[in-house]
Amino acid sequence: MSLHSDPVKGLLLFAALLLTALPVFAHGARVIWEVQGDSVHISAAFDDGTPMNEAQVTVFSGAEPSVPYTSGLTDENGEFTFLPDVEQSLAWDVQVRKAGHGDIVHFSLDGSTDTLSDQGAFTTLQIILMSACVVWGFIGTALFFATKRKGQNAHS
Amino acid sequence: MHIPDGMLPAEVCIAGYAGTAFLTWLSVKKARHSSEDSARVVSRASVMAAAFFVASWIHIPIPPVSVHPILAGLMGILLGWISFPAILVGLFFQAAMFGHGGFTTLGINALSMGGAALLAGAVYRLLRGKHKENMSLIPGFFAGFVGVSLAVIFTGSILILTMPEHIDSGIELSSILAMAVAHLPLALAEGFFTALVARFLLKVKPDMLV
Repeated sequence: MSLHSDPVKGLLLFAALLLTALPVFAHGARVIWEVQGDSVHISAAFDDGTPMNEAQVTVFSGAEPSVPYTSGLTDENGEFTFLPDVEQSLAWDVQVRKAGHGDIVHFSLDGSTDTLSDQGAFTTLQIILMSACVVWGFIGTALFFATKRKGQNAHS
Repeated sequence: MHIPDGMLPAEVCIAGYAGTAFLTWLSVKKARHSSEDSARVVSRASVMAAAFFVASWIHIPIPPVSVHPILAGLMGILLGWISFPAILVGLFFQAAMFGHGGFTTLGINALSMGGAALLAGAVYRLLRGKHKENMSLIPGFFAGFVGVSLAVIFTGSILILTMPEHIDSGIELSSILAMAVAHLPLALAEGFFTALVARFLLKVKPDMLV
């Protein structure tokens, strides 16, 4: 039986091909902040690990959220450091941007949160499992309708 | 290619959602009026949404940036009108699972990539003509090429037109141009790939093409 005559078999093969691509990752951005003494250190990278070098960093204080407190560029390692004025504000927003890619992080220096951002990145296994679930959801939908069509054809 | 949250003004995001709602409604309406079996349309759209979802994980380094396949042309020639909602679903899951793109920018991203897919499908139909026996690679190539190119042009234009005052526009503009140029090899590659897929399907299952 060829794949052309059996859509279910073809879809299962397609699902297997898609799932083999799972260990490859996208390039969204991840921005991490860390308090180091009096300063705050920002590290920005694409989620494949490539540093976001020469990305534009804009820092806003909670006291004046529409006026940049300071700005600059990340270095070749995607890093940037600034000295916040804690008398002006304890809440800070940092935007990192390069060609429309990037992220914004919000943090407070009042001690209510950790001095290191929750790095929150999924493990490889988690990403593989989540991706497999989504891909299977799509393929399952296709299989459902393909089987339904087959049943309708058999009855007619 | 996916604009994340926080990069666009609120009014642009709202306009993006409005445009996406309209095109989704129009796409579903057009698909329902077609003679094709709806179960067949949904199953094909599901498979292509999965391919679109997976394609964005494959990063191809083209210094100084990296690019990923978009597949707008392929979606356009295989799904026609229904490529728009299929891309919208794929983008939603990319944002939800990996933060690739954003929820506030979902409408704008859908307009960029889904709009490119619709136009790529139209380009394919126009170049191929009414006869599906046309085995030329040119219509498929242009559909794949146009799909990537239009998605880049749409996204780049939105980023340039909505650039905030607080950033250095010269630096951001050069980054956007570098991103656009880096997509040229991808556009050529997707053009060849789409052409080969189109030719193969014309031989074995021509009714799968728009």
